[in-house]
Amino acid sequence: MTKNAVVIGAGLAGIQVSQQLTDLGITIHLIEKEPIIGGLSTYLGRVFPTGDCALCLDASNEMYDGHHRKCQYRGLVTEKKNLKLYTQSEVKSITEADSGFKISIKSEPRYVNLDRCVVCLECIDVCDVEVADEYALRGGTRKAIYRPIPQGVPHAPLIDLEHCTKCGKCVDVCKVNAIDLEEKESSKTINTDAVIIATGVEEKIPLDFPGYEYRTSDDIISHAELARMLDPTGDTNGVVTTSAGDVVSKVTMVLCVGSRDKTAFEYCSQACCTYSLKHAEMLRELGIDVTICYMDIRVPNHSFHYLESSIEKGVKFIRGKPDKVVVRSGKPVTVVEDTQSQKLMQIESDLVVLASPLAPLGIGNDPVSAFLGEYGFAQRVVKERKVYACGTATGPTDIPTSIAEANAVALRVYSDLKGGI
Amino acid sequence: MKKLFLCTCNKTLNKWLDLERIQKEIGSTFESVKVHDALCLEEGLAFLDSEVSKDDAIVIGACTSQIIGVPLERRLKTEQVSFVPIREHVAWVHKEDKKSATNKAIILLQDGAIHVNHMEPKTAVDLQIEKKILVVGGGLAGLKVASDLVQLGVEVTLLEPPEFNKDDYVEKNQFMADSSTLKDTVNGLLATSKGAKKLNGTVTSLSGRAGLFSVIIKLDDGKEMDLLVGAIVVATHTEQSAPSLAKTSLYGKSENSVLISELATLASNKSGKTILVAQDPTYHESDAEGSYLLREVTQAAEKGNTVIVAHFNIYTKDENLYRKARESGVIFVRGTLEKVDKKKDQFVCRLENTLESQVREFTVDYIVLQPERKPWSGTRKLANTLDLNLDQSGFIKTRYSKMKPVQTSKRGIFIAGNAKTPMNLNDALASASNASLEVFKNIIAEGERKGWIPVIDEEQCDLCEACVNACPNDALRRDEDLIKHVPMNCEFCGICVSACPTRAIEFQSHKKDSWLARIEAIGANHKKLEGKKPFTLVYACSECANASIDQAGFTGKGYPTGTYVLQFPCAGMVSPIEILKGLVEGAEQVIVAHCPPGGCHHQTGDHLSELVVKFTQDMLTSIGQDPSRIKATYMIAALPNKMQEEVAHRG
Repeated sequence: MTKNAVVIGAGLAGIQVSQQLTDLGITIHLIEKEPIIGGLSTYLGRVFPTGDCALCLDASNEMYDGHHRKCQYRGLVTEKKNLKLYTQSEVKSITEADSGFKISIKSEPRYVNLDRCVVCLECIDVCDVEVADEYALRGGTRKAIYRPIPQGVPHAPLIDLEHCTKCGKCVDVCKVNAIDLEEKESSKTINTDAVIIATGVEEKIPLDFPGYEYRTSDDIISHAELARMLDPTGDTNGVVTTSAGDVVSKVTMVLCVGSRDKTAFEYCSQACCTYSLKHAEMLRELGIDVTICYMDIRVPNHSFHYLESSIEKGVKFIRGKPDKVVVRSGKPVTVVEDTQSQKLMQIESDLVVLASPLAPLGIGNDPVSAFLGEYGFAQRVVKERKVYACGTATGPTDIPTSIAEANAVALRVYSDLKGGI
Repeated sequence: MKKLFLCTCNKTLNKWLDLERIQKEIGSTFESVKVHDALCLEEGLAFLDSEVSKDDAIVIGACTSQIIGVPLERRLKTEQVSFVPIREHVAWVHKEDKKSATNKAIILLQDGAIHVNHMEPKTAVDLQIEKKILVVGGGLAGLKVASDLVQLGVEVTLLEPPEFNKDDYVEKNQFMADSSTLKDTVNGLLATSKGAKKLNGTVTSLSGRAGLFSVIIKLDDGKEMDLLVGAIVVATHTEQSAPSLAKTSLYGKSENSVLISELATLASNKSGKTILVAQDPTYHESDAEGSYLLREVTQAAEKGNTVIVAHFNIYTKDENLYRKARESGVIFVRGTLEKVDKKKDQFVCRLENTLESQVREFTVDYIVLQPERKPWSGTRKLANTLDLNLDQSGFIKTRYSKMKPVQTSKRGIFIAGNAKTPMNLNDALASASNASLEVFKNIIAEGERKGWIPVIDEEQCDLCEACVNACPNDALRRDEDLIKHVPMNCEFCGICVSACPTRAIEFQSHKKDSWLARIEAIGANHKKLEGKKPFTLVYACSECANASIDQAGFTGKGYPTGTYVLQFPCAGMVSPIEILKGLVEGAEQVIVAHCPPGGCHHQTGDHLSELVVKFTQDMLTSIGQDPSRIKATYMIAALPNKMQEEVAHRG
């Protein structure tokens, strides 16, 4: 009998483990709470260690003969025969049954039928409603019917019914009858042999770390927000600006904001040093002055070239964790003791970028949180032959490590379910 | 019959394209022209079912083949299909100029008509795979790969280095985890890998191809054996190098100056001593080594010693190790060990940090050095034998560091664990299972791979072996007086075509004459429809560059009309001849667009296309022509503005 597994979370690790298992003949139900797949990678633009696209997937045997990686938009996930993707869906309950689990999920309506939409984008053109775009930082807007990002998969737009006026213009222009404003949420129960948790992490919005004034100033931002500004498809067209709209010339970065800190997040988030260096390098290429305040620089060997090239490109490093970032005459000022020169420094800049912790997303989800351990992260094998986890759900890390772990877990699931040749 | 199918994409493309004029002007090129409003939907596919027979050659003018290609290829009865992305490459990027956009669509559809004329069926490559695996071990990951595959029912030979014994798995890997976890893991793996055949020896030669390698192994007793295997996993261990601080710290001169691997023994015999532990300042340490350092110094401190760590960056994935070390009383001092003076039985150590104003001195009983972990000493020789590339530190290099963590430059050979870089136990086990998975997928693969392959004209070939050297996948080989193609190794990239100086290699569906005919037709048709308006040719690779151009459409990053994209399997297939032909036909500019540096899907296409363009520029310069008319550049989907930037705006 065909074995099947439920993968929770369609970020890079969730997609990877799903593709590998479908290649091995296991049917996968891939459950994603967002309207598009990709998870954190949808925010990142370009990623380390290769400096190319975040929205890149390792290819699968079925689709492209295994040896090529492909962009997400090229249909790898949506066209696979034994992979069923559920977007805007959340796991409501996980109950043990017979040899496996019964998993009930609830799906929010997209109001656009994936099997009917041809992605002509006419509906978006005619929509009159403009609301703030979640992917934009400097006032960019989107319509009430929208595609979150250009490469977003599934390609079909979705409707934000909260802001939709139900004027019906989109329904009228859609001659292929893909739009149904009356679509209802749906529930489904899946019987499965195994569960794989790939719920990933999010960059914690540094709202409540004392001293950093993130709430006060829009010129004190997080790295995911900086990545949106550096993205040529973002609302600033790749130009890094202040909240007043001026082009930035000086940036200060603060590492370990709320991390490695017993009063906040105890652990090290692993990836922030490297993405700070990556962003520092990209900012230097735009001629922007960059200073990084750090405790330790932790860069894995496969990304070490970022440290070398940041130094080469003139990024300034100050060893010291800032006491605070304050706003003076409208500009953020970083107050830091340089532990090497033992001087107290006050660095005024146009923008301060905080590397805040990568926090587990599984923790807010009731049925999933039961399987999590210390700090809200899971073990690779949570429950022998039944529950597994991979990617950043097992702890913050970078893409190569996540992918390697997803592959390892795929093999484990396969051998547990199928046993071998 | 040659047929054209146009899709209006829910009757929207006619806003930017004059579809009636297209039908009228292009009608004579095809036996039939049909228009549909939604070719990608079930009704569109059903329409194609009824309209297309298996002998037809068809051109589809619709959205990008990257979206419509997969469902269509599954459904269409014919393999002779050319896709023209009139949505992403035309309508969506030329919204301001309907007339010229329509002209461009006509020119590209005519190009599709020529392309489809040259289309040949794909060649099927049988997957003949030997279902046996060789693991070149020594590292703990090797044991894990052997264990994984044995559990899955695969026949595994585990080749351990000469004189290696099972205790070495613990002995040589102390840095990977705390000793009890390490011992338990090794004992577990020794038990579960029992079904593997274990040998001691070295690989002395490799022949054959992916799926069927012939490996010669020299055994410890001097005998040689020949092994046929389908895939190879290299999972070697690491070694401690000589410490860079040896001279300063009197290592080798004083028995109280030792290496970190000896700290545990030292601390178990002594307490109440002062020990200085110094990191190697010349070396970027991995998290595995950082964690090891923290575990060892914690233990030494817990035994009642005063431990000072001279460091500048300790990298660990487990913050709790750091905390434990501090709690156990370890003193962390930032700085490099600059000078050591012997004073009776003690050392006076001077720590300096060039940026720090003060110099610190410590008087200690022992100095402990953490040297760099380098690859197993046989790595270079093994890599030469197996034809693998090494990275800067001498470890085996992966094919693509982001998403191919265990693949090497050679198809069918994988790496695991410390063969790649020093890894902690957890990461090494994941890396090993990842390699096991890739191997296992190869082994159970059934059926065939399909693709267009190079065909060598024996008459024209002068056996210069340029193609043999250029092929990034070892798919072309000299066999006496012939160059032979090894289909199992081939990735269908066409790099061999541009490498061949006698033009003796033809690539199926992309014959040299077909490029010339297509370029000529684009030039002629452009002149017919657009007169003297300048035009640009973009020779884009079918991976990253093509995706970037598709995304230019999705993001509305428009560029001038009169920009024609020709899709090459890989930018490395482009030779100076196609570039010069473009200029001869009147192109103002020829752009070769490839994957990002180091990111070519076939490994070398990005680099080769840059070389070809540089070479062609030099030729232009030497005859007094403007070399800036041609350029090579990378394009990726995350930078959909690249087309806009690269194709200069003209009046």
